[in-house]
Amino acid sequence: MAADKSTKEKLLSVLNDIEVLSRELIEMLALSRNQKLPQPGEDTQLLELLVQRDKEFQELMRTALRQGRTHEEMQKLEKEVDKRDGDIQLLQKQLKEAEHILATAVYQAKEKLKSIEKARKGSVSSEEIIKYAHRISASNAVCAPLNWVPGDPRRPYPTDLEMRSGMLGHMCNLPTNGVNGHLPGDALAAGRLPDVLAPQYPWQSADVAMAMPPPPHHGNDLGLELPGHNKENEDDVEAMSTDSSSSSSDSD
Amino acid sequence: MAAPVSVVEDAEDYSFLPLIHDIIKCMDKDNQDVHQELNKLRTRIQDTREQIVAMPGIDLSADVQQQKLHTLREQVRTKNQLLQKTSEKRQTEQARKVNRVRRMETKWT
Repeated sequence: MAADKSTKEKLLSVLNDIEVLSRELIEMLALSRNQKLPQPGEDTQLLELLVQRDKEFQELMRTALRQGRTHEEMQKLEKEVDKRDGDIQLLQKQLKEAEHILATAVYQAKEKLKSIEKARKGSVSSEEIIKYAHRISASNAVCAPLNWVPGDPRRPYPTDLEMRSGMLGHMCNLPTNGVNGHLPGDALAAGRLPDVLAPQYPWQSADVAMAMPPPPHHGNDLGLELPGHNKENEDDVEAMSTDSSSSSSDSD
Repeated sequence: MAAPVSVVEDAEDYSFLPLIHDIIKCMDKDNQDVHQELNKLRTRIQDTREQIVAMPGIDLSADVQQQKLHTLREQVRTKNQLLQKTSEKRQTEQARKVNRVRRMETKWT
């Protein structure tokens, strides 16, 4: 148990001992001097005890001084530990941020892989797309022939019948046999019409049909008003036929 | 508030025997200074007590303090090692990335 006592407690205890012993020794000496009775045994014993306690006290003081220096070192070490703790916490924070970023990146990458896989499953070869492009442009359905002039029966745009047969026409529930009749050149094109509109390719789904924009001059009045015979529309047709950009080039 | 008591480095100065010796000498000679010497001893003991109370780092026994010091040194060593390992890893990763980029650049050119 004595070993568990702090140095301070030990020092104070020894100091108290020294105080008591010195007082007793002085009192004893004073008493013996007044009574003129020498008591050599007792005062010698007290003196020895006092010398022993004094040595003990000095030893404890040396220990206390060493402990003071150790205490300073410990304070420095504690500061260093605190600093390292701060560094580690900062690092932990950075690692957590990195983990979050990586988790997001992994999630996005997985999503991308899923889309790639999906695209692979429904893959379409470029040759087929080109073939289809040729097929729809052969009937002059998307672009007028180069040498087209007004009055030419070959059409520079889809006919009313073709529009009605398409996806947009079906969405509006329009009858396939238009009430407005055909344009002058439609009769020629009518024979080729099934080839154009028939769903012979796997990608001819609703998505493809939806993605195809309606011809510009049909606009919002789809199926309700058939432009075609008046002069104004003939001018439009002329403008379309001279347009160098064709929709067939978009299908690449 | 009392001024902090300075700790005397030399432990020999903390011996009370010279003072007691002076008192005994005065008593032997029937000197009137004995009371003064006695007061000196009392004051010295009181001062020493105050110094002990103010001394830093003696609230623990020497053994326990040594154990704590050892633990603290171990903590600092371990934390330093951890941080060093992380920084080394970072440097290695960075060097690897730089190498990869350089390789790709070389491939493209």
